[in-house]
Amino acid sequence: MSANPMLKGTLQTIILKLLEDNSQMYGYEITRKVKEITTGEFILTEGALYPALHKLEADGMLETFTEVVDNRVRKYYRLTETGGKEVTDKLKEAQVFIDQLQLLLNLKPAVK
Amino acid sequence: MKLTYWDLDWVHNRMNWYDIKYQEIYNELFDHITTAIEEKKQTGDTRSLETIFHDVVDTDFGGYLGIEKVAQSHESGYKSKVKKMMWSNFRHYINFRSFAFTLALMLISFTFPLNKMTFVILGSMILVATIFPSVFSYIKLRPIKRSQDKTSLVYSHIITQSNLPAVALNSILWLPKIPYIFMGEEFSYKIYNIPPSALALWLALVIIFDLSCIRLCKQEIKQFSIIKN
Repeated sequence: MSANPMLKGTLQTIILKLLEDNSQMYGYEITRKVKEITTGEFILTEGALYPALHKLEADGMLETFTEVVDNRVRKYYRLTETGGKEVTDKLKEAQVFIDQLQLLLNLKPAVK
Repeated sequence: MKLTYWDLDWVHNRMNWYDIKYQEIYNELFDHITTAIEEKKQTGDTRSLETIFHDVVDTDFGGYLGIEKVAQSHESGYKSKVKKMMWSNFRHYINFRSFAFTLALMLISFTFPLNKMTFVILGSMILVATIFPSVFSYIKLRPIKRSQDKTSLVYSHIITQSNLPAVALNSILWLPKIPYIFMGEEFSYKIYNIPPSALALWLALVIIFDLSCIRLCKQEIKQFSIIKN
């Protein structure tokens, strides 16, 4: 489970978006990036991250390759063509969900 | 701060306490844990390697059980991926050309006499086609490196798929005999009485399966083109 339970439903979207922005990443790098972007507000635990990565790989959204870094084998993930197309749909879905949630909870969009 | 050879060796030995059967899963978890330890040391964590190791395993993975859970999810995810790829490859080869080939083979087989010689020739071709994917996968996937106590996730699951025609062949040959064993009667059907057209269809399907298996091996071996830094 991710530290914030509300993250659970959007975990795949977050992974796909990060990989779209960074072209290739390894597991630890993804958790670190999420922590960095959200200044520690959201923490992805590995128990949630890896099953999600493996599910996306099994669904053909991600492909992997390995590199030897500092005497150890590092597994990188990157988007497949299908995964690349899926990002847009997932982001749209997430946006609709956030909009509906704002309506339901009567929240006002954050002013930057 | 990079871990030394001896630090990595310590982590390696400690990680062998966990029941991680597959090399690819082990490599991913090993890299994650060592990178996390290095980062903690980089930010000024002066605790012993052992303490930091336990901290990472407990907080990131939820301890021993968490590591096993991740390993299991990886295995089931990969299993499902291989099945999906195999099915998609099989569908890829079910096309007009393969249909025409199967039809031609079956039409030719109608001209064959129903005797032992026809059965031996077609049966031998089926046998070669049945064994072929296992031999091909074994040779093609041999470069996958693994330590002595681990097995490769990719190798194990692809070999399982490659052995399916052999399992099917065995089942077709032996399963019809089982009821007769229970009834105490003799199985009277002679195997060389199988119509040549049925053997031809069987051969065509095994060849399509072989092509799908070759494609799967080629797709999966690509991820092992290791780049050294």
